[in-house]
Amino acid sequence: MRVGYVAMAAIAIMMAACVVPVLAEESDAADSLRMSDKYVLYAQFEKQAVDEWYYEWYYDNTLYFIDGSPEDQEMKRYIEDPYGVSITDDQRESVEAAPAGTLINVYELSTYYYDFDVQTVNYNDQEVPGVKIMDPYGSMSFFVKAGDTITLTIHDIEQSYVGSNVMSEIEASVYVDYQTHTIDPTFSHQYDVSTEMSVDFNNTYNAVYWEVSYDVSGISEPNGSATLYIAICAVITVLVLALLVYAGIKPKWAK
Amino acid sequence: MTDDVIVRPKGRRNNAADSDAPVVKAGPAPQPQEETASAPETGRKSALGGIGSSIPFGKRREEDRKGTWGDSGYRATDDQAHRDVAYGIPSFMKQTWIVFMVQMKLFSKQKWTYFMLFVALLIPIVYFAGHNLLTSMLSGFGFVTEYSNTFIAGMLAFLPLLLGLFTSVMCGTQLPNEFKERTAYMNVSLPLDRRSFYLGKYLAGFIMSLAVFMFAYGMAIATAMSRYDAIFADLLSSSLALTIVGVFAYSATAFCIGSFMRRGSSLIPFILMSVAIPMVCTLVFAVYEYTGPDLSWLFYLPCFLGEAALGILGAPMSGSAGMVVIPYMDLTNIGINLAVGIVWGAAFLLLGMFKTMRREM
Repeated sequence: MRVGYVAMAAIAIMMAACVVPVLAEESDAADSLRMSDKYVLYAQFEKQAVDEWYYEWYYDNTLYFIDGSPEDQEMKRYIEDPYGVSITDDQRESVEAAPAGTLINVYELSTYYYDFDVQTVNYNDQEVPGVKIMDPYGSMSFFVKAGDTITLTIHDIEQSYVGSNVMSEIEASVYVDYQTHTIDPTFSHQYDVSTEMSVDFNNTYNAVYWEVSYDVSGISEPNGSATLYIAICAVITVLVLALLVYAGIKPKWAK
Repeated sequence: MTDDVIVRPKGRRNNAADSDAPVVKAGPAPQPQEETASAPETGRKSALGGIGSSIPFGKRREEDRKGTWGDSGYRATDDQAHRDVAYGIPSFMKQTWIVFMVQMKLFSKQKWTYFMLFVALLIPIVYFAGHNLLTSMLSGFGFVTEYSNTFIAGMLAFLPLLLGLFTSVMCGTQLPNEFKERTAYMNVSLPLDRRSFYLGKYLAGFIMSLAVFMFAYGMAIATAMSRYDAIFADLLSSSLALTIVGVFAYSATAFCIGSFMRRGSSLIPFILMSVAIPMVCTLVFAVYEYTGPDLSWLFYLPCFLGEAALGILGAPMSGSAGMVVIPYMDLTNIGINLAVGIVWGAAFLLLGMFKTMRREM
């Protein structure tokens, strides 16, 4: 009987600990975020002499560098540190003018990649299987608790170097209540259920990366340790299993 | 001079008209003994005669048994001899505790108990065994994000369905099985409060169901911590509270339904709470969503507590009959959901108790 009272008291305390929410304040943020939705495939070619009628295509979604040049070194640093290094230009003009025998590093941008179907990189009438050297990185998502109102203002979206003239600016949008809402420049919404709101970016065809400057309020960040909750669940389970074993051991409960 | 003991036949009064009735002289009357300090109290004679005189009849007085310990010089106070001990029926709490432990003992012998615990244990097993496949599936349904809470909700995607199933198995068949196996006729006929019988059995089912889901939560949180660093502690608290109240509401409903049934069935409460009511409410809401009144209050019903527990964590959907209702729920104040669930559970519990107490044997 004493065990039963102790068990009931312990369960009541733990249930109270579960019910009383930990105070968590909403957070605001004014920040800049770099992201990319492109896989980068790499291949190296030795430039060969071609016939005069051959016209070399330089694609908008591909970057061309002469191996060992400062711009090529900058690209390699970007691959290693995409958040800290910016690239300004490729060398397609210099590559086009380079003589035969020059080593050319070609970086192709792609929005998809499959291990079982490796894409090839084309240059100078040659075709080489590409090696994936970078995955997409960065995303813009916020967690909004039930009852909170998120307000997101995007000040600027700056694209990195692209291989051709920019045809249209990158647009940000969110998908809420089965509708797409363009953020121009502010979006505000109150959620009735806890939601992770993701911001989508359109017209990013050939941008290697882009940087977003924004302000946001009404979001929440994880602030707790799971250890306490794991312990609470484990203790409740162990207590009940102990009761189960104790009940099974005693041969007769009713005298 | 001693008087003879006269034994008259039964039914005849001692009057002059019966002077001719035969009488039997039973011999001289026993002389009263001198009272001494060692003489034991004389009690009434046993109704069974000579043999009965050696059998204790009642515990109020010690019988005068010649040749036994009565004249052995044994002396003890009433307190030492426990003569003032009052024997009575155990208290209500004691009875409830005994019924609770007896039911827990029955659970320890049932396979379903260990099967449910094993299902909860599958959460980390499946995740680590099929990590890539499971992650890609969860990503497709929106459960794998940058935040741990949605991942935990993904691990517990089938919580609403299993809430109904496990509580139905644990609580829906207890009372019908008692009557089917005839053990209730022995238990209830004893000086046992029927309320103790009812509550003790219910508490055992509720506690056992609660343990299973707490174990599942612990496994899901521990699995999520292998991938993430922090959690939304307040949201997890809310989700746990919703699940606990959900276990209470579901188990009370199943137990009440069982008290009305002659033959136990774990399917009826499960179908009612996890399939029928959610589907009807979802369909009615969908029909009147754009043209009729606002029926979003239907999602405060306890059959949607599982979905609410997942929705508060950020789940976009759930693996249940009400899988699409999460975006339409209002979880800004879960106090309403908790209150409705507690009132629902208490009402069904009282209804079942009323039925059990009035049940004819």
